[in-house]
Amino acid sequence: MFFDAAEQFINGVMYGSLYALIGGGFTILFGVMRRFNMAYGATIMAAAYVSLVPLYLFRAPFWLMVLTGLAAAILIGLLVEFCCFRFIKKGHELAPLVATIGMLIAITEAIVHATDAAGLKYPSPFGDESLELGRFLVRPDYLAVLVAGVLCFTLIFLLLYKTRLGRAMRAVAERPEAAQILGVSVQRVNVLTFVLTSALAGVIGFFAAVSVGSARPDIAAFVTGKGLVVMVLGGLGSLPGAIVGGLVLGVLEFQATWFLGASYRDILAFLILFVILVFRPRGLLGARTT
Amino acid sequence: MLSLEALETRYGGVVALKGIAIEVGTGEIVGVLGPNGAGKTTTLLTVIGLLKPAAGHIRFLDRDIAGLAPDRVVAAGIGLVPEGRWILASMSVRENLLMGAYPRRDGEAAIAREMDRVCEIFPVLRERRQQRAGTLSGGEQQMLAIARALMARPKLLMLDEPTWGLAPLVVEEIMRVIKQLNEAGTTILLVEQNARQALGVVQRCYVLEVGHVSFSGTPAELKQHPALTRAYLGAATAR
Repeated sequence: MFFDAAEQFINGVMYGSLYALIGGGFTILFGVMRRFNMAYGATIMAAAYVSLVPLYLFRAPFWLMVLTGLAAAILIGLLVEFCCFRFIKKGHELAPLVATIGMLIAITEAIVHATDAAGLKYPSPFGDESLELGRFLVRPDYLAVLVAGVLCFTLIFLLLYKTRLGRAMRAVAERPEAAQILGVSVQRVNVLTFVLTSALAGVIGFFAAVSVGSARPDIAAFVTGKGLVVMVLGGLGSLPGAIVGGLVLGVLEFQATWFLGASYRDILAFLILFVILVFRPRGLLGARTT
Repeated sequence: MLSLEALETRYGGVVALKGIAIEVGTGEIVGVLGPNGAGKTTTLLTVIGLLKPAAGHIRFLDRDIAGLAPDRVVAAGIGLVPEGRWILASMSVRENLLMGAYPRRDGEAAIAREMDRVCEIFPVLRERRQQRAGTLSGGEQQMLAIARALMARPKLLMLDEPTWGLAPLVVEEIMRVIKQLNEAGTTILLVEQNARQALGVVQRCYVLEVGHVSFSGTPAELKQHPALTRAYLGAATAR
């Protein structure tokens, strides 16, 4: 029994890194712009679909699929920024929220009409054979998402803490008007933030589709739900919080699957959300008050 | 160097600046005095581009910069030390200074030299380099705000109430540095409510009164207007 729990723990951590990536994408955008991008889930889902194109055309290798999804996600992200954020003045916090919900619906509908609602088979480049990790059996695509998570977050932290642009992003996140009087163009930082989080959406789209075996419209709802739960669980706007929140959610879900059965898994996320909101509204690693 | 002409700024429906004219010549140190709510801060925020003027011109080095975004104004050579300092509290002192150098494109070596230079002006910043800026005392934060603005090597430095709420010794230190910066060639526009301090360093000054300029001249001329000094400068007339 302890062995099974440990195996589920390992799987939970690995799959949790997908949740961490999703939460990270939502969090970076929220941190810099103080706005929710509800179209983020649709960006991820659409990226998964578009990444299939080179596969259908010429049996492209998987890295080319990832790159295609990444490019598509960046284009969609820039479209979202342009339509839902750029021309909306300061002080209208709810306008971008509603606009991005509209975008979420529009992108989802576009995908449903272009394909059909059933979804498209998404082959895993990592094979179906379970890998042996010591005495534990793990899914290869889960291991891949863990590696991708470590890689992505390393790059993100290097960008944020070691580069001039990353410093500007953090300055805008902390105090936009201070960043402005130091010569930072908030507009440019916003666009950069969209490019960064959308590139991440491309990566997430690939791994989300691989893990469920198909590109499906409901990936949008799935990642939106998980992303918001992770964000609140970790603490709104805290990137380390998103990582911890994602891993915690992954581990709890896998333990719950094993104890209660798979059908309770999705309820659990929202149960956690409820508990956090009641007992620790600032999240696991959130700031005291802002 | 800087000239504001018939500058008008509105907050919502309220006219905060009702067509003011202010001139700052190259190498000068000019004060803007006046009571709370007179529009002193509004003036600086309009120049830097955080507020959009409703009418009028802001000429800086023969260019009209009225309505430009702040990043363009800063790139043109204006620095602001804002009221309340606007320190990036979660970043280290060093990172705050690096943010000050954001508009510069002349390489890390030049920026490192600049950092040495501003740390010579305020040695305490060198000691606190790695410390989170939010943990500094009020006086140290004010020094950091000034040092940060200097990192961009502004041609015109605007300071908004740089001595507000500071201990007398620190006030003296800050005013000494402002004077020293001016003597080293930086043009300065100093907004102060603490008129006694300001009049000690400025060459010329303006008095703002509910959105318009009610006096302009030298500190000596200002002292000839007992009513004005008594009404708006308070402590300055104590002597």
